Amino acid sequence: MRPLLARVLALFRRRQADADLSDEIGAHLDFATADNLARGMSAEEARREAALKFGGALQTQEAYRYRQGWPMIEHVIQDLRYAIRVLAKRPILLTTTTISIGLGVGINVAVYSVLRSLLFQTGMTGAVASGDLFRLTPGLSYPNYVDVRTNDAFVDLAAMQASTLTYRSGDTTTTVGARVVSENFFEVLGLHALYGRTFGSKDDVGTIKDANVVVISHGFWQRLGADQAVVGRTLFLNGWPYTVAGVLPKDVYSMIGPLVSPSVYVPLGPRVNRALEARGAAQFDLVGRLRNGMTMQQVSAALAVAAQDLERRFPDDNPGLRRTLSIVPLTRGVIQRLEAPAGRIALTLAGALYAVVGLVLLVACANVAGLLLARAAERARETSIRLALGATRGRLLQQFLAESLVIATLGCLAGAAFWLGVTTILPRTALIANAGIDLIPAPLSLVQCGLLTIVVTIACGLGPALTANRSTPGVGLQPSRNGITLKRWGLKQSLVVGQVGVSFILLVGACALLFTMVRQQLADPGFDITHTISIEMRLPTSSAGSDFFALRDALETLPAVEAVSSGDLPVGLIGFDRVHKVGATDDQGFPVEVNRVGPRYLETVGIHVLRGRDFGDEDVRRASTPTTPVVIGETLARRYFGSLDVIDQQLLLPRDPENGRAARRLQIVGVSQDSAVQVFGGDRIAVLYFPALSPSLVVRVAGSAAGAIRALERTVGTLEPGAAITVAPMAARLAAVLLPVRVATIFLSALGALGLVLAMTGLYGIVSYAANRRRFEIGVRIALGASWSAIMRLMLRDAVTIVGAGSIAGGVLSFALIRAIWPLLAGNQSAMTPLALLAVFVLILTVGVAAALRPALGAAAVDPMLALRQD
Amino acid sequence: MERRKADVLHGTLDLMILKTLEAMGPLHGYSIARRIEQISNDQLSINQGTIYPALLKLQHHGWIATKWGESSTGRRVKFYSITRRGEQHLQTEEGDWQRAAGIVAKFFKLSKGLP
Repeated sequence: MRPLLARVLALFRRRQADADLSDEIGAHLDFATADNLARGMSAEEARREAALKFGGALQTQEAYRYRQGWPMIEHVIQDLRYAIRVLAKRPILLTTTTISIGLGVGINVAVYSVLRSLLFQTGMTGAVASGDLFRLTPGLSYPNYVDVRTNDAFVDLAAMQASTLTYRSGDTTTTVGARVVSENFFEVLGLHALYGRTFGSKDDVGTIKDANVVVISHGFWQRLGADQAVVGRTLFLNGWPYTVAGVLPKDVYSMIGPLVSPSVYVPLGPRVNRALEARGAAQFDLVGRLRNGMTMQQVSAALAVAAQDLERRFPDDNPGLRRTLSIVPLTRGVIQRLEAPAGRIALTLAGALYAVVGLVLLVACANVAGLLLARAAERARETSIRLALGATRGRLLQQFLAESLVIATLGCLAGAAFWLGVTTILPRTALIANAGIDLIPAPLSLVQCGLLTIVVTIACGLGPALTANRSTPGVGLQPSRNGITLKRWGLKQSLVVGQVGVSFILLVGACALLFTMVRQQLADPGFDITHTISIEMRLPTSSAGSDFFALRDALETLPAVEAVSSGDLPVGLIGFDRVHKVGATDDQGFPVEVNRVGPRYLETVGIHVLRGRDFGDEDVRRASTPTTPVVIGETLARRYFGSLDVIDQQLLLPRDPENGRAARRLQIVGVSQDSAVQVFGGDRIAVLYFPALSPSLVVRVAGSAAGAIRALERTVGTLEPGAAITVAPMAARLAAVLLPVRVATIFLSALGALGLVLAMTGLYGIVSYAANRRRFEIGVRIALGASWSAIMRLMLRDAVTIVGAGSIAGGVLSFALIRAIWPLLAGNQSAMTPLALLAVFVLILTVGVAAALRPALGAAAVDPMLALRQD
Repeated sequence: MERRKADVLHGTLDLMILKTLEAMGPLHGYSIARRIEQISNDQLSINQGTIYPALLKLQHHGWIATKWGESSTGRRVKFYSITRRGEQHLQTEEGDWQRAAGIVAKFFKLSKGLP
């Protein structure tokens, strides 16, 4: 350790040490000479003898220096300095490589950071020592929670619920993401306020149930103006005045998941939750802390007892509770908390996504490697001279790698800067602010940046360095006549083939998604989206709830309005629910999306009723009768019953443990046409319309939808003061629902285009390089009578070969990719795949030939007289 | 050459230097080289220059200290002296050396025919 330190220090005072050593050697020789003189030698002889005895002064100095400094490090520094000097003289090369690597690394870093946070971050940051925190799954209802907490093992158990509250500021009402939390929430999690204080402690159980205090997130605080004086101010949430108790630190996010944080934390109570007393509604997530030395096993055992007790006392509300209830330590990230199939799928998807951005980075590296390879060839003479002067191969390799290290470092810095920029700007954009959530940016991983730098250095530099190192001093120094014996296929060509292949894969993926998107845009959605408007309404809980019938009557007096009903999009999104045929015991049921809709909904949104009838006012009013009338989509009718004539057949909708909805017996009164819209492709999701009122309205207008929006906004605003209202044409709502596919398409297209541009610059480089090197050969050919078209063919042949080989490789691999994203492709994918392959092939070939055209034209225009006279 | 000169056994130069400094107190480079030659009766063949890298190594380990001063003839020279750490190191090395040399010596005492 000590010698190491001494050596490092010596790096900084080399000149002084050198001078000292010369001094010492001089003194040594003087003493020796004096001794020899004293022994009676002549002056000449004395000096000679002294030098002889000393040995080589130069060797001594060399050995001394070697021991003193750190020759390897000094060489590295020397090489880096040289590399920087050389690269600084080639700003275009440096800019190109920095942008290439920067984009590749930037996307890589972004995806990695987000994925790491999403999958591996534990449920809570900002909380102290989450090692003894745990979470109960599934959630519990409030009465169950209160009962469980009386057990000694669960004194430190907090309840929370993700919610959305309306927030009124001046005349505008918006929504904010909220956590409704039990009074001990902050204490259990060990969270402290940045300004002000948090609320509650376990000592005041029940006392703050109706307290009007709120703790706000750092992000929301910033949106409020980032003023510390906000503590004590009044905010109107859900129509109630709340006093701001404190502001949380920046890095706190709750268990909605990483990356997002609720804006406000309000105490649990009837103001923010109207179903507190429902024992069957398992609406609260529970998080607890181990108390005085208890182990997870002990808590688990106590939980089993508590669950069994609840199941015994309230069998109707808690069927199977003892079997399902369990605890999960909070130290585990999302990925470990997911059940087996979901976890595997999440990991696979994450892996696939990371593989895609990895491919893009590889393309960028290959591109830079191509450029460096061309430079290595240009520098063959320099390499030869160095070798001839005695440079070792290792030292030469090191020098080339130093150059790619500089390039990689710059690129990685650019990439990291890109991500830091995005994470700084994104949370401030209007899109995020209006969404009512606080975005907590995923942190940049320095380890990843370091590793990427190394990977990029090697990926870019090793090939060129080894190629350059293969030259021998003899050959490199000879005057070049190697135009005739040019190697056709080398590392550089292979690199571009790889690039073309990767671009091909990305573009096929993008193309397939593009077809899906176009189909979604073009397809008749099966309902009217040009004359319908969606009104989303969030009511403050203080109001008695809106009176749909009064609202409808008021809206229908507006001149443009033709019909008004209650409900959202008539689209099957996920299909979480399951219905069963009555009487069939071994029946698995059928997955459906239950759409809660009001009277005359189908008529209002323009869906054809194929059999039976639409809902009327009475269906909605007496929804509590033993059998509920429902309308089913034709998919459900055909697939489950095998026929459209299913009127008066009955279905069972089982109890929903999430919101405590009791089991229902359904009677089919109508069969409707299905909407053709599918968000995720795959099997069409069956739709079932259930008569119930929801705060969202659909309105059908005469003429264009956009024209009526303002009037509707004003009318609903006056009728429902305090409600947060979003009025949008149905087309816009639909577009929002289809956003995932659109985002995926744009992302993949952008990556594909980026890959293609990089591959094409590589191709351009190869063809123009070959054209340059083969000037002499081309001159001979022209002199011997080769035609213009023959030369063009000769030059383009290489480009076409490379593009062809890359496309074939990419085409084969694309099949694997298409299989992977199969579920995202809506409709008859198989017909689209060959089309996508063909389209991409034509695109790449066209772009490839275009890239090669300019250098090829240059070659064909060579003047044989000039070319032959050249060296 | 009438006498065979011994090459310096690898690693022993350090010990010779340390022992010399321990015995004679602070010395400059030339005196160290001369003392080593004198003690070995001029039977060691070393280039005097090789002691300088060795001195640097000892200095890096903190076993010797250096100080610029003036020789008896008024020349500016660097004096080397052994440190406490150096003395401790020398002691352990000396013990090791004696033990190893003893073992090797025992082997040389073996003669043919002994069981």
